[in-house]
Amino acid sequence: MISIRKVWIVAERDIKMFLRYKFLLIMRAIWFISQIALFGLVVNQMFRGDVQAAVGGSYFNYYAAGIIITMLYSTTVFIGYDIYEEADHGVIEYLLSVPVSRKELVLGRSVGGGLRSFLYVGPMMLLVLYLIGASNPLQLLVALLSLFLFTFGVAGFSITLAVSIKSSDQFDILMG
Amino acid sequence: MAPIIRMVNLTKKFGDFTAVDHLNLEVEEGEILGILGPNGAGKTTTLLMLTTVIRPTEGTAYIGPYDVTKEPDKARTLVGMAFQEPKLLWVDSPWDILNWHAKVCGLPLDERAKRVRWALEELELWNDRYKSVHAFSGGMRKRVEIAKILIQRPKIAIVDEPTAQIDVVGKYRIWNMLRDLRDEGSTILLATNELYEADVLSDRVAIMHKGKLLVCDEPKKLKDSIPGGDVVEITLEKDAPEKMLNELREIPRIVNVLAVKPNYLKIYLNQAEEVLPKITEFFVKMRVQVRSIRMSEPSLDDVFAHYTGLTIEEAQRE
Repeated sequence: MISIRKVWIVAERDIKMFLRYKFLLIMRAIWFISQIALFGLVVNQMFRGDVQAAVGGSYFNYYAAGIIITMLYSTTVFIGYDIYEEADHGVIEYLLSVPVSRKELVLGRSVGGGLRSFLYVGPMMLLVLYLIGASNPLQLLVALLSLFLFTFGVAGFSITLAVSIKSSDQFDILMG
Repeated sequence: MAPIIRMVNLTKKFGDFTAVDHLNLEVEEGEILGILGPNGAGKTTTLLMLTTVIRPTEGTAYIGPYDVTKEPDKARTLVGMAFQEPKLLWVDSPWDILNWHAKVCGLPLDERAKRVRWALEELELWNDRYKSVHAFSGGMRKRVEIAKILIQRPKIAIVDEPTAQIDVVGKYRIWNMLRDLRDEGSTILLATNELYEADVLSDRVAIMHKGKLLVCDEPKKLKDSIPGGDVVEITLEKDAPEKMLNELREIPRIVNVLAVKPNYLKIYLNQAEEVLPKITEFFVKMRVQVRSIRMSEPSLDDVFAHYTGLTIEEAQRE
């Protein structure tokens, strides 16, 4: 029987942990702004009108949506690096000794890994949706839900790979 | 009363290496059981199996009524462990680590706040509670690790070398805290390679070497049990050859002679006051000058030496 409370306690730990990587968060935010404000607009100017029409009216919209997915992916994958860090410091042994079942632990970390990324990228996502001009509430809801499921899946995938691949260098190469 | 921990043929192998070899040991509720042995004796591996971090290769252990191989989740609800190496991430602060630990162990909010504050103050970490453990010394990290079980107050507290890297004053404080924990109802399993710690803190001591349990009893009974109730330590001016040691062993009432160093002997004997003159006479006859001579009570090191032929220090080097 999985306890939701325990899953949340595990997830909460990962969310709080993420907020401590201030340098990473700042750098990612700068990367996002530069991609949208600089490269997005520059690239947009490089495409002819017919190409722009083929990708939904504006190449910028296409580019901005892609940037959000990339942001989500790269920040979610970070949970795998946490696993390596924890293995180095023996924290995994500690986590395996606390009164939480293995299922709760894995589920909690997948939810935490996905949710923290989702919360971090959330404001950027809203900005992009505003820039794109998405206004249908139902579409917004479906988009957000899909994106959360995407982060949850990527977090689980990242954890599985981190546990399976013993070398963090190999993990780094594989996850890009 | 049924034992609260029961190890039945508990075995752990890593490839061809047997870290723990068919360990059979019971721990009574409310006692402090010290597991004493040199590094590599299998102490930590045993503790990791009891906390279900690693699975036994063979045999099992019962934590209360729960079999660690069949009901690990339930077994973990009774156990709390302070690891030998503090398990902390560099970005963490003691405040976050201990609050999360208290939360995951199911302590209600008000109790959590009280216990975390108490442990941080007692272990002199209160002023540094928001600092990253990255900036902490080894002793401070160790105190954070110990604080976890002091806050949790588990039914079974497992502590692995709790005072390693901690100063003398801190050691006494932690020993008292562990005694208090026992008095409040916890059973404590203590792994250590410090003889004095095992002696003063444990109700019973289990001595392990090379994955095997050699003996388990109260410290006093263990010390009384070795033949040769007195110990004479002699430092010679020059090394003692094996032939000389054998001749020394021939002296009546000498039970054993152990060459800790080539010129440092430990002689186990009965009625030392009568034998001592004969020993000095022996060295005079052998024309070996004695640098120092000292009589002492047997220690747990002597018990270890009795069973293995090595002192703990020698076994550590092996």
